[in-house]
Amino acid sequence: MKNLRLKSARAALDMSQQQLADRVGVSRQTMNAIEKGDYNPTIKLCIAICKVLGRTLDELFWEEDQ
Amino acid sequence: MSAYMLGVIIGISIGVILVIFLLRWTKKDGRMRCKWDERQLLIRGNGYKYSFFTVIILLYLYAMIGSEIKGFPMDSQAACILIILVGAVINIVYCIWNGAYFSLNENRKRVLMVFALLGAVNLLIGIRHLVRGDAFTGGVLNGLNANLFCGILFVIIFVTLFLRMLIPEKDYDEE
Repeated sequence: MKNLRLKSARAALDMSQQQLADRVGVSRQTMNAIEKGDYNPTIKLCIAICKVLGRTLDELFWEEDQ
Repeated sequence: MSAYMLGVIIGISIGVILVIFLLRWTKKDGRMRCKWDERQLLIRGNGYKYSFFTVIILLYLYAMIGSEIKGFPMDSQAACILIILVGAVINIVYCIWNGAYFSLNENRKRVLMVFALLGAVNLLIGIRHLVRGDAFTGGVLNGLNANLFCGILFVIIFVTLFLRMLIPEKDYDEE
């Protein structure tokens, strides 16, 4: 499932995938895969992304029950 | 110490120094080791798995039926080298396609320059063997074709990189 909250949080800071990837220390392809839902990041990487985007884990990665 | 041994030692020493220089020269941070992120490591693990099983299967098939096939176009040395390179191609193409071939600290332009040089040198040596007829023993390809096979490997790497550039990733944000 696509992570649209991550994408919108990144867009809100006017950052590209490459810029966010550089700040977090991963490749641009990895950031794209996370946004597309093709890759489930480790908790360590989730925390790194949250710190850069100034959001909490719940805000970006918690999936509410449908 | 014989002149031959001295030549071998000097040759290996120059090779090691050259490899160390190239490993450092192709890195943005001047280090020798590559840094990959967690997804890249996962992809690379899968790539090694696929190439490992490919080599196992091909070697088994070659051991079982290779010598039985009349008119098999290469000797055992050439066949084994080719099988190893097929395994390498599978790993490399899989990693390139999934964005896990180049590490985070690699200077891609410099890596490609080294690859172009290595590919060209290997192709030229391979073609020279073919033209001179050294590449054949008893009408079949021999181990001297290792250079030609390596040259073709580098051509495949460049073709894969080119195709990967042409075909954009889905949902890639280019901003």
